[in-house]
Amino acid sequence: MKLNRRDFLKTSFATAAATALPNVIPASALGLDGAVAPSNRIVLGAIGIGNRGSYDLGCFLEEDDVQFVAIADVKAARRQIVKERADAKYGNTNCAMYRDLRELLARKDIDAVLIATGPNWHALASITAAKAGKDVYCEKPCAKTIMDCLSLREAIHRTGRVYQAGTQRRSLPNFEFAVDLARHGRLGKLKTLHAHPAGLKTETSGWMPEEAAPSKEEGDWDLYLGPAAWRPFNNGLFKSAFHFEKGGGLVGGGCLEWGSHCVDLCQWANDADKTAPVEYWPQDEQLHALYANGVKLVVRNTGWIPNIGSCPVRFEGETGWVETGDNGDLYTSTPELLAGKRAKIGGYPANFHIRNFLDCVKSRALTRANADAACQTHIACNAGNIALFLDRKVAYDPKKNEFIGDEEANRLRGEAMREPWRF
Amino acid sequence: MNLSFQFLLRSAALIALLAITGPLQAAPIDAAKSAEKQRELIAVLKSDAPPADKALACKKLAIYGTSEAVSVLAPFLADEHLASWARIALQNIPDSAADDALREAMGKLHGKLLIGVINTLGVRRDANAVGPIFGKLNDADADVASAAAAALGRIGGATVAKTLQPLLAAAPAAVRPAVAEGCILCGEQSLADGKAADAVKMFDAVRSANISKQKTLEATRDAILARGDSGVPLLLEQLRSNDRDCFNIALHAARDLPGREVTQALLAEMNRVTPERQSYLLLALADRRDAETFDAALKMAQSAPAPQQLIAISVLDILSDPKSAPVLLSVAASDDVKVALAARLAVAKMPGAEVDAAIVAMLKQPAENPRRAAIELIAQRRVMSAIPELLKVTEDSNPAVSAASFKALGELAGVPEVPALLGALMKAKDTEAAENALSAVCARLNRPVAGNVVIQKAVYGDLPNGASADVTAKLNELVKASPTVQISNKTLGDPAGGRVKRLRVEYTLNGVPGKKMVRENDTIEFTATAVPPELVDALCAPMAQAPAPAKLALLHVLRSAGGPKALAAVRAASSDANAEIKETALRTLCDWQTADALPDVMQIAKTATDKKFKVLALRGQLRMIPIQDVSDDQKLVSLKESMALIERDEERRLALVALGGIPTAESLAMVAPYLSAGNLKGEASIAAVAISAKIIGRCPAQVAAAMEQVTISDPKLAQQAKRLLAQAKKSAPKK
Repeated sequence: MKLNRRDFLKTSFATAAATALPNVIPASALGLDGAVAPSNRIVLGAIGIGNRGSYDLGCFLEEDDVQFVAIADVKAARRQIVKERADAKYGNTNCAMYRDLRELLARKDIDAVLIATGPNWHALASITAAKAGKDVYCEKPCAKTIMDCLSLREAIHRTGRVYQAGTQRRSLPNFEFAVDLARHGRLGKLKTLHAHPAGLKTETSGWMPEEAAPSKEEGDWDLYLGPAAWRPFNNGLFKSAFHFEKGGGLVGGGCLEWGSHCVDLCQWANDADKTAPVEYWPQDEQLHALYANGVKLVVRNTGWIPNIGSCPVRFEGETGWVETGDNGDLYTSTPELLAGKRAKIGGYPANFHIRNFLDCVKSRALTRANADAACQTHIACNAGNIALFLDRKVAYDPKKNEFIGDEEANRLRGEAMREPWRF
Repeated sequence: MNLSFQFLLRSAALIALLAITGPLQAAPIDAAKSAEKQRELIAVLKSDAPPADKALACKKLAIYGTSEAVSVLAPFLADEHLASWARIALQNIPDSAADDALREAMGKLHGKLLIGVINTLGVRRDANAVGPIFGKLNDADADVASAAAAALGRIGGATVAKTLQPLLAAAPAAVRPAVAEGCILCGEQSLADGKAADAVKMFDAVRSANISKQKTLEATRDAILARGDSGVPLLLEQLRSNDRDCFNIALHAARDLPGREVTQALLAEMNRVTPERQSYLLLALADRRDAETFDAALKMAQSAPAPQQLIAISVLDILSDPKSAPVLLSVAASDDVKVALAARLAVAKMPGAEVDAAIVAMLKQPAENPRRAAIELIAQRRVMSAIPELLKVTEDSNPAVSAASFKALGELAGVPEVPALLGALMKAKDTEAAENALSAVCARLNRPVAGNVVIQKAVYGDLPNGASADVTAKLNELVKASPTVQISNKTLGDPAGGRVKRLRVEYTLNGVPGKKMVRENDTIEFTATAVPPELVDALCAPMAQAPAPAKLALLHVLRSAGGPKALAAVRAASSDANAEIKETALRTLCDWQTADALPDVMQIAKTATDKKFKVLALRGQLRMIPIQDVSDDQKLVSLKESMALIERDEERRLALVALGGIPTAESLAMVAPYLSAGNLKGEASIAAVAISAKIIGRCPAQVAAAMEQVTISDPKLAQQAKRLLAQAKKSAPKK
């Protein structure tokens, strides 16, 4: 049979998807898909949809078993853009718009939410959604402080919700393959893990000059700040959450911003989804950390490597190494290590990760980047940031979640939220 | 308070680490320096500094503040803009003076500012705040009362439990959810303090209260966990519920409730429930990682209907235990494509020599599916020891199995296996699979080799628009010393201090032009590739005696291998008595990938009697001439010779493309007559612009003359031509 180009692309994609993720549990295995009946659709709402959120939302909208019904955003223009997109897809005018996320979360018909606000809101919005009985897909960084990490994990367990951190590289075949090599002993005893976030500088920032604020309906500055300490309206901060002070904790620093991806992969490789390194120290413009099992983590100040792409990681064992990044290729110490390699998918798409989330919403299984894994990764990143900020070595007890004999570091574990917000 | 700053006993894991790294020690804190910082920050708060400075001072006092800072921070709790900043400090200062200040503020504040203070007291778990916070449970502002209920729950204790529990029924509707939240938090505190019975009472009270379903579910989950082993009946009750939410929360609790008895109960429950619920249960059991789960998954993978089988395979994949290989391999040959694929993928990455052995044994099964699955897995797992078995399978009477085996050999075989693979080619009925396998071996074994590198233009700096320097000569020196060059300020100088620089380089490698862009501190390699000579020897050896079908296949393989010896073998075949072999050899020569075959194709173009070969040879020449490792002048001599033989516009177009790659005034002059030729002016214009862009510095007059003739509709090209014309006129000598 001859395939036309369209058929070929469909076949290739299906093959790539199937070969990429063998241990994703498809909802079809539970008899939960096929021609998706309305009652089997996951009713989705979105909170804070800017650039990244718009991409994520597109991935959700591609899934047949998703019914998107509502957007909550503090910015009127963004609400309108999302509504028009959803209404155009469904051929109706049903997408509801809310300025305040609490109104969206009060809707009983919504099963799950996509959260892509600024990072100041990530943990609080996730916890608030879980307490409202919604499953949560939340962009990274998921929590700005160690205490926020713990509160997030606790809330997800208590509420029994499905949670997926937006660390989509956990659902991409090259990263999974490299992690499997490390976890299954094919590199020998694991020695050193390398993560490459971009930029390791940490700092605290305050506020910017006051400017004329828009109306509350057009842009709600108070809600935009959310749990972040108060500061006057500034259009530069309002326009780009990426440059925002991010609501407490330590600012900047690829250690948290990008580490939530590449440190996360190292955590996974070291089978450390329930723990974190026990020592952290700055050295040679890098962050070094040590796990209790003797494995070393080196967080390099380089975000991109030629031929490997962004978010590169390298895992070294006693008998071999593997390196991979966002271009999807795998590099190993010997070709034999590539046995069983799966189809290449470059460009770090989130589709597979979002599909994993949707399948788990149905199966109630643990997602790839579940709350435990996300919590520990973000603890590692936050602890690393604290070592960089203090510019010295810190020792951490991952069972008690305290720095050992280090009051300064312990004080940096948590930060008060602005009134009236609480977890 | 929640943020305890006691020195902690080291955990067992940390003690284990001591053996590796020595005692864990944080760098010492400089107390005098911290005190000095606090003094400076307090001074900012007491000064007329702008609010921004005071806000940051508060934030830093969260790290360095002591009781001394508390009295300075406390007044800001009433400042609607700075209260949140002041609480950042007060929430983290361990001294009890902070608790005192926060409690005192409670009496003076209202609304959000009061809520903030209550929240902070809750986070600090200030037992002395219980009384004042109780007072706020009846506040007319429901938000204040709710904050109070939640904060009390965080603080916990018997007094809190006794007070909050009755409010589950008695509190106003708007406050009741927060009361339930406070009760759950209080119960969790009791559990953490080892008072499980108190916790159970509290959770059960919440479960029986008339509150939101979500809070009931949370209390149910906590009630199961607080009961420990005794929680199994409640767990099973929820698992048997027809309410989907109750079932879901039970699945969550099933993952978190520890104990072998729990696992046994869940496994027993598997036998009672529908196949669909079995799947959910198995997924929950898998996350418990108990040995018994493996057995249950294995059983389900063998005998359950396909949907449940798929779940079981996913679980076995996660567990990745080689003991599951025999079952997974039997499933890998299933007729259900999804099930078979899932099983193969699980086996493909499963570690263990015993897994390899089981796969190789599968080759001996009579049916097609298991054998094809085994072949695929051998290739994926790179089971080199299976190559002799694979070679036997190439003779299989089933063409699909034979072809799959050849494909696997193409992915695995090295030079030592090539003679055996050639033997298989000689015997093969369908030579295409064998030919593809040998070509795949050639492609895979291609290795970097040194080549003749000429750097034509190299620029290093803050590209594309920042400061940069021409480093052509320097880079030429470096590549003469080594084909691998480290791109750094040390090797190339620093034309743009403080900037991350890049190198843009145009070069020829064995005459073949190339371009690269690399970052500072990366390495760049200028190497060609070639297959190992012993592989070429092995491929050439059977040419004389091979039967015609094998010989035809080998000609194609030799083209993939390349190199002088392979070329000689093809050349010899071009005078073979067998017409089919002769034609294939001539076509292979015309299609040769390097310029080594140029003399052959020039000869064919001149002497061939069949017009078809004349055209093929001419096209081969036009492709090979620009990639010769000779001077541009020599290339032009060859091109002129070839162009004299051209009879059709199709080949003239190819000639213009070739000329475009030779940047000289003479090549531009050869292109110029075609700039006005109707059918060819497109290709001519592209060539003229490409040449002009490279020679404009040394030949502006010729460029100006050529660019004036460029008349083309492509706007981008027209714009380039216009720009070159303007530049050329500017640099051309004035008459």
